[in-house]
Amino acid sequence: MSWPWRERGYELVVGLEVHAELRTRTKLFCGCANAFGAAPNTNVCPVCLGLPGSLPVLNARAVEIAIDVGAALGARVQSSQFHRKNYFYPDVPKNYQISQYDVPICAGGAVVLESGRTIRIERAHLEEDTGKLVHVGGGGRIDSAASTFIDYNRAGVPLLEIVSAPDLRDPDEVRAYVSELRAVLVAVGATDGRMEEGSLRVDANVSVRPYGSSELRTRVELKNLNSLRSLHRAIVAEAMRHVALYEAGEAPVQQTRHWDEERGSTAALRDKEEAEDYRYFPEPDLAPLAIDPAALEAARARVQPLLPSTRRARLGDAAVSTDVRDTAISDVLWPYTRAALDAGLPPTLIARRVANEVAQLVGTVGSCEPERVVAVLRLEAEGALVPQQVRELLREVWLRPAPVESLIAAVGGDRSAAQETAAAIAERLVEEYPTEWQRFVDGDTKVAGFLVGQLVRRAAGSVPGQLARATLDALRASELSSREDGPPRGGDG
Amino acid sequence: MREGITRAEVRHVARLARLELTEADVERMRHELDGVLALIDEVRRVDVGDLAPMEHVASDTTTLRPDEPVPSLGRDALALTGRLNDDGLLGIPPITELGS
Amino acid sequence: MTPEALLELGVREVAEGVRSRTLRAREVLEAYVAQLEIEEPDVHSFLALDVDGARARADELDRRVSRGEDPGPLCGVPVAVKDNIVTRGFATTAGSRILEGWRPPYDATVVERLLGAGAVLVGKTNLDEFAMGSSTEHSAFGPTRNPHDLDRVPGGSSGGSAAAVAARFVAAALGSDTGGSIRQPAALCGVVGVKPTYGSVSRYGLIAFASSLDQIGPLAATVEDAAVLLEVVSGHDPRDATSATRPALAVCATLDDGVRGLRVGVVRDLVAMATPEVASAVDEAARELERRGAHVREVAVPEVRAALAAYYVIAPAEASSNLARFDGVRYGLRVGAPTTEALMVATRSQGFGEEVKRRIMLGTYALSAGYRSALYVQAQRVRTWLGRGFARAWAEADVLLAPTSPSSAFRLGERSHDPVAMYRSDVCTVPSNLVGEPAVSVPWGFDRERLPIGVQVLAPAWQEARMLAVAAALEQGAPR
Repeated sequence: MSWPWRERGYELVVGLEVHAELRTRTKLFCGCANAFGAAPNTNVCPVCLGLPGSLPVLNARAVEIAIDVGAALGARVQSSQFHRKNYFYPDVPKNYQISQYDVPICAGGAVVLESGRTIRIERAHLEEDTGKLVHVGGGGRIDSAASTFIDYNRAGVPLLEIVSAPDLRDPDEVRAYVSELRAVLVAVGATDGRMEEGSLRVDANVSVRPYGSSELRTRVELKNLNSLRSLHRAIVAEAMRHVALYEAGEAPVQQTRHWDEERGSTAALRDKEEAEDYRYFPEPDLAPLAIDPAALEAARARVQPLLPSTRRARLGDAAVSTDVRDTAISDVLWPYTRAALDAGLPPTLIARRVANEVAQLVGTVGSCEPERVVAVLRLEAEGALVPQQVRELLREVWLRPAPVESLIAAVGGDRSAAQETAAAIAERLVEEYPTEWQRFVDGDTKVAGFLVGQLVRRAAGSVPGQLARATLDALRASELSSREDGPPRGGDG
Repeated sequence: MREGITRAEVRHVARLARLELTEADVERMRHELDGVLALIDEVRRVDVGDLAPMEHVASDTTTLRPDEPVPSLGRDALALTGRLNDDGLLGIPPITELGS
Repeated sequence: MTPEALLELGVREVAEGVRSRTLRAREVLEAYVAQLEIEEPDVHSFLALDVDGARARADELDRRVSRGEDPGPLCGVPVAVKDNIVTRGFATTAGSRILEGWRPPYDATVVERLLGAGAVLVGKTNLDEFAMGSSTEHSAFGPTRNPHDLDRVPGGSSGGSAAAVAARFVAAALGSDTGGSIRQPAALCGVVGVKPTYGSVSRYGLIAFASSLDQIGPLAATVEDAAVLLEVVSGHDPRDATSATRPALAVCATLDDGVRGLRVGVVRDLVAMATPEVASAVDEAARELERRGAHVREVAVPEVRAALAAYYVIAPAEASSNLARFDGVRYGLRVGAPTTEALMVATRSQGFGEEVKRRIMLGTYALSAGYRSALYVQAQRVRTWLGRGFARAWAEADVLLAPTSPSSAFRLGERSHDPVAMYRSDVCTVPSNLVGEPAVSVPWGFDRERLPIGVQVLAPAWQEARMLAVAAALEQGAPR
């Protein structure tokens, strides 16, 4: 794909800051529930409201999750220190955010894209989320709202901010990076990764440079990117704004810009002289956070098998699309995929069934014992069932507790019945297509497909292809043996 | 030699701290801060070699909290201010951070 | 027992009397209330009183005791709490207009522990706004006066607590000490004030001034009274991550252990900063300890001379951040304005007093780009250096002796318009806060104007038992 800036001699340089809301039960520094969708200002207490006298106490589970993510990204997981980032904003209850600064919990690491490109991770650090501003009137826009309201339920929810190096070179790569990072985070249980609920939020640092150069030019931080689509559109728009500035002999200024989905353009937050002076200093209410080396080793061992790259490798050379593969290795579906792989079934068949039928059943009905799914897929692999029967049998397996073998008959997958049907149809085919049949008996393999197809079609889905072929082969064998035993048919003797 | 704090710096710091100073306040504050800065200039004069800054006096590592919910205070924590609307949201005047 | 005799009783005697039903909590309370009603209008040690609530509480305690219950080691003891310590449903202002009318929805851990031990909370005491001051003149609600001389300040910032104990409005009180705010008013009012080891008493519910320096501690008439309170309020609190995972301090059992064989170091660098009368009080106190069998010598800790400078960088820096939350959005004062930005600026400009603004400005400056490393980071290095100095001293001495305040109580208005002169009042007390170690001020006689003098005993971290045993010895030997 050719990008518009490329045609004008520029290369895109993007680094991402991904904020993942961690899937803990409670907030980062207090025991309030970390839950989405509660009535406004109900999951709040003195600590997350920053009431005078309250103090933060760090959530042990959030630390575990950060360690797991660090292990998954191959980061250096280190003793760290929380800092205060001081700025006045009404969604920040204390007017400082407890975050990490020069010593984050995770330093370094990388995400390897399916394309084989390695995107370096600079750091990942823990911090508390802000409250949510609700703008009423003026179309809900921040800059024209008649009044503004605050809901502090989100204030104090644990975030892990993962900062990439400026290694991304085009919008497709940006998307691939977000998808892969999201898959890693979901796989280790760090977050539910729902961009639409804001549990995964992405800010993009965008700049352009003359193609072939290795300089890093002035970057602009883009905010309010609420979907992969707006991320893509915003980067394209911002890159072209930079190109236009450079072409006009000007240069972008380093600033934060807000993406406006409706207008399809970015706008600067009002320049404030103090905008960059966060007056960081070590959070005196929290001593340094130590990392237990044994816990880190355990995390490495625990997350390795969970990683998308590990799972993808287990699916080997399955001939399926990336989407199907990624669905089959996703967290909720992985137990089925893994059980089927452990049973030695073919990867292609596993990926297709898990990503389609199993995914749908898990989504609509719920989970199921993976071994029951394996039993069905084994029947399909052995050729005992046609695809329609597989679909029906999976449904039966989900809805009825009976053993899989006893459910087969319900989908017409009874082997003896199918064999009878196949044999009866085969007899008719011999009569209807004598020439083709003779060629088949004489060993012309090209005609076999035609006969199998006819048989399967006439059986209206009750006979799988493999059984059809087996029936025809058996009939051919018996004819050949009767030729040898009986009187010769031809007269050339 | 220590440089004094300027009026411009006083105004900048007041802006950072969200404090409003009249012109008279600025001069008085500049004068007072200058006196205090002369007192604290001692920290720049002593030679402490390459000692690391002390950031915490007591514990070496922070204590952690189990990830177990405790009942929230809910709106009671805020309601006493009488600033919540019927939906339980806290109202504030418009925010004017976006430029044109 | 006469009301006068009741006021003479120690905390332990009151509690034991009420628990054994030889006294009634209500009768003890009434003795204190009578004293309070006469003198409090002149002293103004309280920002809020709850005499009716205290009476109900005392009656309830008496009923519980008569039912055979044991409310605890402070049963029926009338106490006061500095008004920067939050009390559920009861106005807490920290001496500031910006919190006027705010009723906290929760109790500080120390309040829970006081009440859990059977104390009777009489009211909330006056302080310099957000504990920033050394005279209680910076309270937004008017100064407290020294009961020994109403023209003099009680010291600060826990001036209300110190004056209330000195005037016998309560048996004991809690204060907070960031740079001397318990010890200096204790010295100026002639009572005992303890700044315990950082992390020994929970800060949960203490409205933060400088989080790495703040500690809550007791003010009381005697070392023993202070020790009883300290045992009640100390000990690990899971709601304060800087609270040490240790049990409560055990200090009462060893109060009478004496000082025989102890190595006592006199910190000449601090004595040199005091008036001649205060300096000679320290020397007399040292001689008294020597008479009682201690080995007294001078110990050089020259690093203390840089402590005040480091303190006036670090404390304002942390304060500038801690006080950012007071913006009119969520609680307390809100000054209306057309935009949220303007509302914050107007609320803070009208809600904070001059001293608080000065410290916010100073702290913001010390953390701002361009000055952070030269001021804030450098001050933290000085703090490490000071810690080394004390570590060296602890190799030579078991406790250190120093003045608490360089002078006795000064007159109202004398220093209130000269910030630097006021800041110098803290010169002998800030070192202990910077290194997180305990110190106690214990009365040592009076100066020529019959104003109390306090001497300070410093100890290594977690050596409160040794420190208070020395203080108890001084108390016994002190001139009357």
